[in-house]
Amino acid sequence: MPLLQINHLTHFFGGLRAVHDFNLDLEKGELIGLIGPNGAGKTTIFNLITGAYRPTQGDIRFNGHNLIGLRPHQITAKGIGRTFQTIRLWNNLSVLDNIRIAQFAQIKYGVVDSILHTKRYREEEKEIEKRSLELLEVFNLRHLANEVVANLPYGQQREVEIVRALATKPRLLLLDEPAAGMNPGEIDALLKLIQWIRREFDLTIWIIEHQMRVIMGICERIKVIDFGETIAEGTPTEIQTNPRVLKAYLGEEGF
Amino acid sequence: MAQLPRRIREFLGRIPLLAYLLGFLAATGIESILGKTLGLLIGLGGVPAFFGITDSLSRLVLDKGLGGVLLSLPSVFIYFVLALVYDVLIYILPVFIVAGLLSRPVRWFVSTLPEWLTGFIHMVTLFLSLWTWGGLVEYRLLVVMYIGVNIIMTTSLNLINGYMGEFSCGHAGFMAVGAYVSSVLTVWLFTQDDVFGAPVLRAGWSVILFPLILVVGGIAAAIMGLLVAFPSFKTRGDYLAIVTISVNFIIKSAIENIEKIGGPRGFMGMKGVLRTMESVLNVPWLLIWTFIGVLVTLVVIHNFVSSTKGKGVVAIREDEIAAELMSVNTRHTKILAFTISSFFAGIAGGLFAHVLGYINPGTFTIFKSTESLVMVYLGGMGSISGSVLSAGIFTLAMEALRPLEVWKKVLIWLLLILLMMFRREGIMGGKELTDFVSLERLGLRRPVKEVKGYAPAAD
Ligand SMILES: Nc1ncnc2c1ncn2[C@@H]1O[C@H](COP(=O)(O)OP(=O)(O)OP(=O)(O)O)[C@@H](O)[C@H]1O
Ligand SMILES: [Mg+2]
Repeated sequence: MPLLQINHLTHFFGGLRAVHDFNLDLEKGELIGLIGPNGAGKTTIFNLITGAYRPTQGDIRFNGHNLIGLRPHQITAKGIGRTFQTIRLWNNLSVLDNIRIAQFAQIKYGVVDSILHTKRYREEEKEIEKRSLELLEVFNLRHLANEVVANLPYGQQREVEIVRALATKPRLLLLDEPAAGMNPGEIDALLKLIQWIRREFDLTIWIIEHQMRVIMGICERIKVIDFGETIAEGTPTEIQTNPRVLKAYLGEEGF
Repeated sequence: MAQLPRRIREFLGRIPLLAYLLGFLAATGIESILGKTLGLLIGLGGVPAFFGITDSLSRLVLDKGLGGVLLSLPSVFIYFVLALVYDVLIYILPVFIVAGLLSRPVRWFVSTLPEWLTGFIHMVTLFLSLWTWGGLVEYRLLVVMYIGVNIIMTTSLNLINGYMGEFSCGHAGFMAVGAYVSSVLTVWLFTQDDVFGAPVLRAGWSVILFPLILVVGGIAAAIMGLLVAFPSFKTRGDYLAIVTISVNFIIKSAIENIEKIGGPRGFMGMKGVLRTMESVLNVPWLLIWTFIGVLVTLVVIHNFVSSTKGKGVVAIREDEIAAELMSVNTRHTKILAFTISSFFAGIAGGLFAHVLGYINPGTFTIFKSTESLVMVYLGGMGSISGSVLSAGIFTLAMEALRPLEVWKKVLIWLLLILLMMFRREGIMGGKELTDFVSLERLGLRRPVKEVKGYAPAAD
């Protein structure tokens, strides 16, 4: 059974058809890419999967469970973590707090425990803090734990966002244009990091990218959409020579 | 020579909090013995209620135009200087002398005790000093309790406006629910009343049930809090603010239309409840419960917002959509925040009603809500110590400046405008007092022993 199964996914914003009949079977352990020009509907697909919008039509199954109608935090708790195209960290909180809060779904203690500081509360909080610091350590961000997120440079904020997504204990990680705003050197480092995360955390990863060359090297499979329609699917080499893809990208700078 | 102020500062900074509290307790003790004599001796005519501020201002002649004001200024000034002498002799000198003398022994004493006991001793000392200070002039006691009520109101509102970033302007509505529910219960159960007849329970029960009835009032208010919590799933910002205002109005009008509890004329009889309680055991019941109420509020809200679960509230403020997408159950969190907040507003209402002895729907309008709002912003959003400070300062100012009549309000709102223009982040600017002075330094927590080669984990 595929980890993620999307069938006939269609979404309208009023009269605008942002996604049309999108289908995908994502196997466990895969690393795939989704590309398409501006406004193609890529982010909308991630928003539909994570429950930010309810699709007009179609169904989404994760690990066999139907996701339609679930609230976003429930979907995240089922094991889908994500980052955002424009960074959406909780800016005035510390790095550590950002990571801690992302473990919300793992909390078992109640409000009363938190108020009375019961043993259960203390143990769980200790565990959450330990895990957060370990995650930060792995990404060499440990020394920034108490830094307010807004004070970090852009690149580090991107990293913190990935760590935050990992803190939700995902099995599937959705990355929405993680390389946006990075220079070629930084992009190389990022791609290495993504591959490393995939092995280390045993993840299935789906990356949205605007420019295809960025993910050429690391994705096994790429889907291309334009105006909400799937126009091509295949290995990076197949995609690169596909005439429909070339047409869609005509006029766009280097692809 | 320039060394001197710094050395004094360092010396004063090393004195533990408990020594200061004991100093204050000593000062209040001295005042109850010598205050009146000294007041008469230096020509104040007795014990000045609020460090002489009110009494000096009451010498202003406001009803004879500018000339009257100007002519009365010298007498205001003279009284003020005399009061200053009184304050130095009665408060400042004893506080610092006692605190300085006790600094070392207290530091040693505190280090031998477990932390919870240290905390408890601080609380008892603070309570005793407030009691002696307030006991001297009845009006003071009243103001101390107003401050307590306002601390509860401000801190609980801060949970919504400061921590969660919503703009609630109907906090007084929840206060009204707590005030009416608890007052009706106590009056019905413990007093001879025109509407409810003879007391239902024996007087002895009153002292036991009083805190429980306050809690019932709080729970009723918390249930009303759901009236805002549910709309908050769909509505935010300005629109939710309108919802809170509407809820405030709905509650007020509802009460106005219940004849049995006095309708628009109001409800009284709570003084009788107090007399019943005092007949069982003559202690300052209301001061005790207000004090405990404040402590519980502070502990609950502080512990909640510093837990990972409670930080969900702050995540909602920072980015609600990201919060929900990053596993925070935002609906559940909002329900918690609104019920906790309105629960404590209800508790504050119950205390307030019994302190005042009389309530009417007009007490709990949007103006009352605004007052709480002002205190939240004055103290700083998302700062509990800020809320405590601002509730204290604002309430004291409201009372101490009373002789200025209408000008009082002008002055206070003018201050608020200046605050919004020049220090929008409030007194504390989103920080807590403990960000400036450590608990170790205050003597509330034992210093961490430094072990070579061991770096304590980051907090
Ligand atoms: N919340 C919304 N309401 C209305 N229209 C929307 C909304 N979100 C996206 N759209 C529209 O849907 C279409 C697809 O948007 P989407 O953000 O998914 O594109 P994208 O492929 O991620 O583009 P980009 O590369 O610019 O990020 C666009 O035309 C966009 O304007
Ligand atoms: Mg996008």
